[in-house]
Amino acid sequence: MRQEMRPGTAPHRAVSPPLSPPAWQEFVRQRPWLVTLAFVLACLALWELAAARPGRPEYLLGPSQIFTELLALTQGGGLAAQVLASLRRALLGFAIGGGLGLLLGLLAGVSRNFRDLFDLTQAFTHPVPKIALFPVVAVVLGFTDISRVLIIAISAFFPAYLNAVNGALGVNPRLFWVARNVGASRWRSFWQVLLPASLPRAVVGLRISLMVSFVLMVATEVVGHSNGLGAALMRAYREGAYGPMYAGIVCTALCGMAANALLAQASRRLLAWQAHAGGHLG
Amino acid sequence: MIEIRDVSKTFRRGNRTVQALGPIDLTVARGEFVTVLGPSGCGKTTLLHILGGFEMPTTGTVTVDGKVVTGPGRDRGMVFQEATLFPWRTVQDNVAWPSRVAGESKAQARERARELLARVGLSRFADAYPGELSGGMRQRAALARTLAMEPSVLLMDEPFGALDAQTREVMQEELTRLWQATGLTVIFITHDIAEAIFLGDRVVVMGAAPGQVVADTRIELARPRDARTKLDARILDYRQQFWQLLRDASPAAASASDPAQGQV
Repeated sequence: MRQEMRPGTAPHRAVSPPLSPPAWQEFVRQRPWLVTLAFVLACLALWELAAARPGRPEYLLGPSQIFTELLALTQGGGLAAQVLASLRRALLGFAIGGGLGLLLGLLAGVSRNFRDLFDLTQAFTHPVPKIALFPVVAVVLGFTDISRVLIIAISAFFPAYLNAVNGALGVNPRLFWVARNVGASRWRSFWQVLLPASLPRAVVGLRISLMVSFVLMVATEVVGHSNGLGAALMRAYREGAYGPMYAGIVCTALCGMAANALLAQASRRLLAWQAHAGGHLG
Repeated sequence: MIEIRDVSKTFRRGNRTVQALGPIDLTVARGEFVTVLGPSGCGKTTLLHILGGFEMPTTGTVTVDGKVVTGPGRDRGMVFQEATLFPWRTVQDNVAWPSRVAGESKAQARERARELLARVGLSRFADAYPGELSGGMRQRAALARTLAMEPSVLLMDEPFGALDAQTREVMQEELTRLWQATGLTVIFITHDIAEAIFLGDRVVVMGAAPGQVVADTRIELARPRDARTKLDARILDYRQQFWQLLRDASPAAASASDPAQGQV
């Protein structure tokens, strides 16, 4: 039966509206941490299964075993003291090395004279693996906290320095002209113009410095008589006590993560002004 | 008030010497609004930098209020093409900064900043960050900051060049209104003929290679000027005049010879 087409009417075709995603998909999309959590749990579950298989080597431990070990050490094994000793070294080294790297890097960025003076030295020392310097330093200062912090500081210096130089070089020179126009002293310009302007770039360097500090913290504690997480780790390995060894590794990792998260939070707050971009007002 | 005597600027590039500017002789009276019109590369920006004390002339001297210019100073406030506000400070903190540098207390500086923001129409955006503002708003803030220095001379380097046409028109009218109220001496660089005519008491036309003054014309339009001034018929005459001068002064003009010389 032919349908009659009257002028002024179009054939009516049923068009369904675009399908909205299922409710659970929307739920998950708004909570990205769920995906991360699910992934982590899945990995842990697989690991646990692998560790529970009969015939597995004795040095392979599952997450539940490590967790129990960690708990035991915290309660009776003096874990807190070790953590404190290690953190003190790492953070002190980071503060000294990173701080110095930042300031000298900024100076090198703006002062051609300083850059010419200092750059060759730092280019020469940078490629040297700092842990290789430890015995050298130890000959003079012994395997002490001071020598450890020194090595950590030297290692933390370079990423901070390089990124600070980069940050300083990238600053719009007109900003300094504004400072000169206004009659700001060089001191004021350094702290109130150069530093904030270079910070976005320089902070990247500090994040790397922090991680490097943790690596060197463990590395320096493994050599010579020491306390701290790295030393405890090594001791456990040598004694074949794999439980405490893994617990130490996990603990170190958690400390690093916590420190990194704190630094990230602090830098987010310092650089809050960057989020306000887009030029939509007015 | 401003004496530019025999100023020239020569750059050395490798083993070549390029004379970018000069010699220039120019006098600007107190309270005058002088616009400098010229094609790209004619050295007008270099001249402004020399006036500001950011660059040193190869020959000649610049005297402002009897004192020879040897470097930047608060008496000569510079406004750049891009606002150059500190993005990490709010608009109000930016405008307050020159006062703080001069030693004023936080409260005084804040009060002064609020006044200036009101003058440029930005009171509502005092706590916004520069990144949140549009180009026109940023230039207003930059102007407010420069005024916070209490300069006697305003040096403006194509401040409206990066703005859209409508915003530019509005900013021109606001600037002339502000100037009328403050009586500052202004040197304003532009390549926009209409802008030069509307704003200036005098238009100084510069030619390129090397940058020199080609013409210095008084603009006989009544003051104070506003949107209605733009409808004045004499503007067309001035336009024609400057257009011709610019064409002749531009290096590209050498290749194009036009027998029909501007007949209005």
